[in-house]
Amino acid sequence: MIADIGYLAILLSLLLSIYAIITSAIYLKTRNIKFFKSSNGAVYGMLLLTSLAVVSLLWLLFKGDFTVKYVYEYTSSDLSWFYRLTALWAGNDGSLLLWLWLLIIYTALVVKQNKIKDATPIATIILLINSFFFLFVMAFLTNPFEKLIMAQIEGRGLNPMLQSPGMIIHPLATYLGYVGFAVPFAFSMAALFLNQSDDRWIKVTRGWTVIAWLFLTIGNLYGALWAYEELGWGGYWAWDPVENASFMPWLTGSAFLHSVMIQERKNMLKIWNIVLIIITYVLTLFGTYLVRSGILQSVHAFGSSALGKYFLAFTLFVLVTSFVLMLFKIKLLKGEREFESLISKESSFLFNNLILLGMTFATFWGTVFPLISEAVTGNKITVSIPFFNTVNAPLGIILILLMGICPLIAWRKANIKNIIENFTVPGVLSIILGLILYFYGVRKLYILLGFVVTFFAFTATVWDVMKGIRTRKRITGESYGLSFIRLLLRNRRRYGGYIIHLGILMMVFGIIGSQGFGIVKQATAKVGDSVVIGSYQINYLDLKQTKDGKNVVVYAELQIKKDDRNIGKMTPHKVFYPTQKQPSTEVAINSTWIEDLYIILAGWELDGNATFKILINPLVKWIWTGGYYIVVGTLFALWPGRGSRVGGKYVKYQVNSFEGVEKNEA
Amino acid sequence: MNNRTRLILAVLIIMGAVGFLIFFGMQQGVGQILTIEEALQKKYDINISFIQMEGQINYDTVIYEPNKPLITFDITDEKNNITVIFKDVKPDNFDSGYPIIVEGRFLEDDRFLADKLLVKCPSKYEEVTEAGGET
Repeated sequence: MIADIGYLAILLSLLLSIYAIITSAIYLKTRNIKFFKSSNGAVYGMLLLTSLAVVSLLWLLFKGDFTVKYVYEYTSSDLSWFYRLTALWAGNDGSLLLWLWLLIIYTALVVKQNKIKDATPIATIILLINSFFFLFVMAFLTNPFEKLIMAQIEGRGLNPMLQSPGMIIHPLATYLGYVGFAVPFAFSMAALFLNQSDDRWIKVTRGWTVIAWLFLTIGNLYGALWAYEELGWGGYWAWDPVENASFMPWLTGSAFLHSVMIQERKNMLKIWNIVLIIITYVLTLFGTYLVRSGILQSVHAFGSSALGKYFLAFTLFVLVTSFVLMLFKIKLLKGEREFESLISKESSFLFNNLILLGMTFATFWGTVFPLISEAVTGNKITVSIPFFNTVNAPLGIILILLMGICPLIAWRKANIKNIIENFTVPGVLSIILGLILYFYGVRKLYILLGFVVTFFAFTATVWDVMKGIRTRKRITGESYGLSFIRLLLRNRRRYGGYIIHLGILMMVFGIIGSQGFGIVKQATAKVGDSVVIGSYQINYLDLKQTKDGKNVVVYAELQIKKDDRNIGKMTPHKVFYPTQKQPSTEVAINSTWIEDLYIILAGWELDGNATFKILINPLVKWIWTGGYYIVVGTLFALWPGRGSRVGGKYVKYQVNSFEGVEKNEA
Repeated sequence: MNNRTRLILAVLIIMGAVGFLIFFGMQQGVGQILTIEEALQKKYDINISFIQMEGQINYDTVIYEPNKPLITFDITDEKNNITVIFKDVKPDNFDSGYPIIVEGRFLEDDRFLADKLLVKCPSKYEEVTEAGGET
């Protein structure tokens, strides 16, 4: 019954999406406001219906109605209510419903806000075409409410690896990010349709873009955290095709966030920005295609492959039509200001963009090359981790170097004085650090360079803030503390960006540390034995078995000492789920700012001998902590009110651009 | 040289560097996916940096030495056998009977040294087991 209601809601929503597209189009033709209102009503109706569908599926999952195929496949009656609900996005059909629901929520918000009167209907049509596609897929290909022919009394259960808190945030955040880029994309296309060559579409969708980027960042980060804690192989990133799929739009989205600043401030890079937003949105679709098609071997590919064709077709459709539209309107975007100097903020932003795109292209190449090779030559090949590291490590180092340079270098044309003023102290300090590290035995080129460049970007950023404080103190006579707080609050967009940069630098610091100085050791121990790794001594006390609900847990009790000081017990374990054939490994991690001690219980014999895989992963905690800085920085920059607008270092410039914004919006 | 030329030159240099890195990375990061039969034919091909192949574990041949750790076993396609050595602890689902994928290269004694072993789990989410060191 409820399953029927859910499916009916999807069908009705599909009809409404067609209706809303047609009425919006009629409105554009006739300018009769009635049609506009009717179309908006249809969008709200879709919101209501898809919400009903989501609630229906949640209810079925909660109740454990095993007559429904989706509920049967992804839950079982012993699963806690919490993970029953999260099974909404555990499988293909449910996660598509979630995606659609988010898209419609966003569309309704766009309609409600109605920020650019003439552009909103067009943007709405573009978003609705996307909804239509998803609704069509769900109505005819992957109905989440499909019933089983033979009723079942027990479900197959949720994969244990998905029963982890990380699995709540990672998919939700990733989807919120993916779908979020649809909005700036829709407005960019609307601007082209309307022959609007200014940057209104960028200003209006800036909040959307930044929030989408933030969610995608969180999504990727929690994906890495989940891999680190749940998959139990000791790492957090493996250049898996699906990881790449969400890394690529993150890269292009980051490029877009930077290059729109140049358009807003200098009216340059118009074509470039449109290209970037198209690529970013298409990459989110492409990512979904990769996950659904099953064409690549991956850590979390969904099985169904019939869906792949449709997604590929839709992705290509979006790519081709948006590029054709752009080429038709290319004249509109031309005639922009030229770069005045190679050494200026504008060009450093351009270089940052090129590097980000270079990384995207390399990652894309590595991900799809096996497919191309097989299609063209028939040779089946595989691209492995060394490829991605070889390409992305040096590019990443250049990117971080630019992160230190970009914010400080002058607009238009930097002169020698400006460069000396900004970069002498950070440069000298970084070289000193490099020498110290070298002296202490850090000899691997990338590791050494990575640390030096990260430190340079860090000191350059701090140096710039200090200069700002001094200037402000001189002009206003405030104390250092007050100057610092006011400086940040009055230019929140700028300093929010700095906080985000700080977060990225922390992550890079963690990545370099864990890549460069990790230790792995495997050991088999008798009860009572101890194993030494690094400065740790691990005493194997006992092997025990216990029950956790219906699951049987086998765990090793380990007493850990570091430099002869007791730091507590760790219990790596394996869980036997009744619904699964194989036990699942739960690692034990002791995390500090310096390093993680990461212990896997690999196996045991009946006599109590157990095998452990032990890793020391340095600085990993910095990666996750950097993520929090990014969240704080983004919110700081976005929080509405004074100080959140485009602003410069100099008070006068800020007023000018403030007026500019007002005029544009009037 | 005016600004435009300089800028174009800078852009070209960056693109060239990216292209070079991709080319360079391809030399070491790309392996061939072969059937067991093809792998046997091509085992001395020096142009192949590593091989990925799929097969069944012959469970009669498995020797597991957890204290080293080391697993030695034959991988088979019913007709041909290749002895594989994998220097790591046994993955969770090694004994499940599912096909496996190994990645690595042939040693001089014709055994295959795997640095990656993946069990083809039929679950919707496939588990990856990586060799150590790839943090």
